[in-house]
Amino acid sequence: MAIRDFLREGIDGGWLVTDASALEENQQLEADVVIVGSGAGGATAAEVLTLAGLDVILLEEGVFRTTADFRMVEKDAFRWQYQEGALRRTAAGDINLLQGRMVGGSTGVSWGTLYKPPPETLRHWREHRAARGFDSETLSPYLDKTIQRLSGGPWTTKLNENNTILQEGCDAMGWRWDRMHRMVRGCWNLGYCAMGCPTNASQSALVTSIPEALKNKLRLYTRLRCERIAHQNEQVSVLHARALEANGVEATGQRIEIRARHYILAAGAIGSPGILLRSSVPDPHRRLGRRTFLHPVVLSRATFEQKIDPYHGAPQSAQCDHFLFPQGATGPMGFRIEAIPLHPQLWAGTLPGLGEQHARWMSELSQTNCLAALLRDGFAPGSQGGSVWLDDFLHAHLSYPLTDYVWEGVRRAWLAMAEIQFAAGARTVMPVHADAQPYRRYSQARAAIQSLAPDAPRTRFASAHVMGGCALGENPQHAVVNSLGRHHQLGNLSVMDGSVFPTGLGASPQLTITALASRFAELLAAELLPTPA
Amino acid sequence: MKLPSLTRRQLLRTSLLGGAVLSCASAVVYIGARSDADSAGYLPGEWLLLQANDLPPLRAIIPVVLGSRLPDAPEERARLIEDTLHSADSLLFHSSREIHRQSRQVLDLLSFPLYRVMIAGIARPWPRTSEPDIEEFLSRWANSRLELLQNIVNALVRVIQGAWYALPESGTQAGYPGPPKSAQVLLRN
Repeated sequence: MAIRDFLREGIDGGWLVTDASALEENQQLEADVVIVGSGAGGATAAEVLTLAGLDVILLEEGVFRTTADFRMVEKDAFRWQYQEGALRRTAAGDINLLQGRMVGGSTGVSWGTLYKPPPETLRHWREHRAARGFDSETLSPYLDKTIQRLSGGPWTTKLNENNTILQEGCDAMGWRWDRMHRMVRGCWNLGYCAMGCPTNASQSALVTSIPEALKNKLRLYTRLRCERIAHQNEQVSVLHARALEANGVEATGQRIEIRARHYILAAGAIGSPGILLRSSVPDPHRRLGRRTFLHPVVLSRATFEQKIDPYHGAPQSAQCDHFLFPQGATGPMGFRIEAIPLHPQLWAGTLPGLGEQHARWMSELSQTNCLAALLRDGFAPGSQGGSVWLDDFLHAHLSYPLTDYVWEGVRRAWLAMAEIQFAAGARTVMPVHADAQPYRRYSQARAAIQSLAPDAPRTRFASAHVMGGCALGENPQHAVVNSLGRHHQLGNLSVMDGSVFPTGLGASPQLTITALASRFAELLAAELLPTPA
Repeated sequence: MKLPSLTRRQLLRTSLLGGAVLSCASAVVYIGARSDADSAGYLPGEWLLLQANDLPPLRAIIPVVLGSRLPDAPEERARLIEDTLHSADSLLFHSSREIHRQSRQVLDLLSFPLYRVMIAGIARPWPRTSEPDIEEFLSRWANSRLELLQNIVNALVRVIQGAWYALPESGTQAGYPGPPKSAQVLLRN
C-alpha cells in the first residue's frame, strides 16, 4: 500500500518547476505577479492568482521535497526542510526558531493543527491596531472555506499517551481543554508531521495549493533566494534573486532578475522584513521589522511509570486554553498549553545539561511527557515583541527581549504545567531550565519555579510561530502595509504572510494566513485583470 | 590567523550559532564547495566545513558531552567519536552562511592556543587536557554571568548532542524505537 507520490508524477509530467541550483546562466524573467516564498501565504496567493488566469512566478529558497522523500528521519528533515538546518536562533542565541524552508514552507513541517484566530485577538486588532476587515462578516467566509478545504476539525481518534496526560491533568484540575483541531485526511496517526507527512494526510500547502497552482501553469523556481527589490517613483521596478547551490547555503553566481506588474512577499516574519530592509524601501515611521512575535515557548518535562512513547501518534491532539486570556487581551500574559512530540535529536538539544545527567534524562525518553506553554505576545505594553535587523553581511537577525511581563507569564505557565502533570500522575516534573531538577512533589516544583533565575539562555526557550515585522493597519505611522496587505509606500507591493500580523495570534497561524492571503489575492486579481467590457 | 582585539563591545555585538561570539579575524572564511556527501557515507579525513585545527578540541570535548553514551572499548569509542564529528560537520555544513561564519569564530576560539589559554582557561593542548578539566571549563562557561559565554557553550553542546542523536546507533540507546515498523513496511510496498 505504497502512497502515491503525485507531486513527483506532476514534476515528471511537465509542471513548470525549475531547480535554480542547476541554472548555468543569468536570466531575466517577466510575469504578471512574482511571489517570494511558498508557505501558507505564498502558495495560497499563487493558487488564487493562477486560477484567475494570471501569469505567476513563485520563488522558494528551499527544495521541492515530495511524498516519497519523507522518511521520518530527523536529520534529513532538518537538513532539507528547515531554515538554517533547524539551527536558527534569535540574535542573542537564547530562543530556538523552527521555520520551514521547502516548497510548502512551514506548512510542510507543521504539527498539523488548524485553529481559527481567537475573537479576542481580532477585536484587539480592530480596536487598537486600525485593522479593517477583521470582523466576522468579512473574514469568516474565508476561514470557513479554508477549514473545509483542509479538512479541519477536532481530532476524533484516540489521543496518544503524551496528549492523554494533558487531558487527564486538566480534567483533574477542572481546567478547560479540548480536542485539537487538525488538518488531516486519511491520517495514519504516525507522529512524524514535523519531518514531512509520508502519507499525504497532512493538508499542507504542498499537497493543496501548490499542486493546484502548478496545474494552472504556475512557474515555480526552487533554490532561488530573493536578495532585494529595486524601486523608483513609489513603484517596485525589478526583483533581484540569486540561485543557490544544492546545499542551499552558498549562491552559485547565477543572478535572476524578475520584472512583474505586482510583487508579493511571503517569505515569513524574518524573511519578508529582511528583504524589505535589504531593499531600503521607504519606511518613514521606522516600522519595518518592528513588533515581531514568536509565541515564546517554555517547557515542562515529566516522567511517568508507564510508557508514554512521546514520538508516536498524532503529535498534538489536545490543548488547554484555560489560561489564554486570563484578564482579556491586554491583561497578564496568557498562554495555551499543548503536548509536544519528542524525537531524540531535537529533544537532546532542548534538554539542559551534559554528560551523565543529560544521558540519564535522555534514556527516560519513552516514559517522558512534555508540555509546552505558548505565550501570547504583543498585546500589552510589556510585550512589544522583537525586531528584525540586518548585520554587516545583510543577514537578517531577530532580537527578542524577554521583559518582566514575559517572565511573570513564564512562571505561571511552568506552575500550571507542573500541576497538570502531577495531577495526571507524574513521577517527576521538571521545568526545562538549566538550574532545575526533576521534582517528586508539586510543592518542591513550585518552590523551584518561584526561584529559577529569569535568565534566557538557562531557560531553554523555544518558539512556536514567527509573526509580525510588516504589521498591517490603516495608520502608516504604526503599520507597514494596509489592511489588505498593500505596502503603504510602494504601489505595486504586497505582503501576504504571517509577518502582517499586528500582534502574536494566540493560535497556530496557518488558517489565518491562508484565509488572509486568499482574500488579499482575490482582491489583487480583480485589480490586475482587465475589466470586462 | 590574525589576532582579534577582544573588546566587550565585540563580545556583545557578535554572535555564535545564533548566540553571541567573538568577532575575530576569521569572520570572512572560505567555505569550500564540497561534494554533498552524506554523514553515513563520509570519507575518513574528508571534511565539509571542519578544518584540521578544529578536530583536537572537538575530539576532546565530545566524550565529556556524551559521557557513558560512548562505549569503553577503545576502537568502538574512537569510531563513534569520529562518526559524531562527521555528523556535526554535516549538520553545520547544511545550515547557513551565518552559522558557518559563527561556527568558524567559535572553532577558531577553541583551537588557537592563545585563546585556548587566555579565554577558555585550558592550559595544555586539548589532547592532553583531562576530562574533568574540560568539564570544569564547560560548566564555568555554562554558568557564566556573561550570556555570551553561556550561549557559546550551549551551542557547542547542542551541536554535539544533535550530531550524536543523528546517528542511528544513538536512538536505540535512548529507548527510541524509530518510526513504527508496520508503517515503514506499508510505505515501502
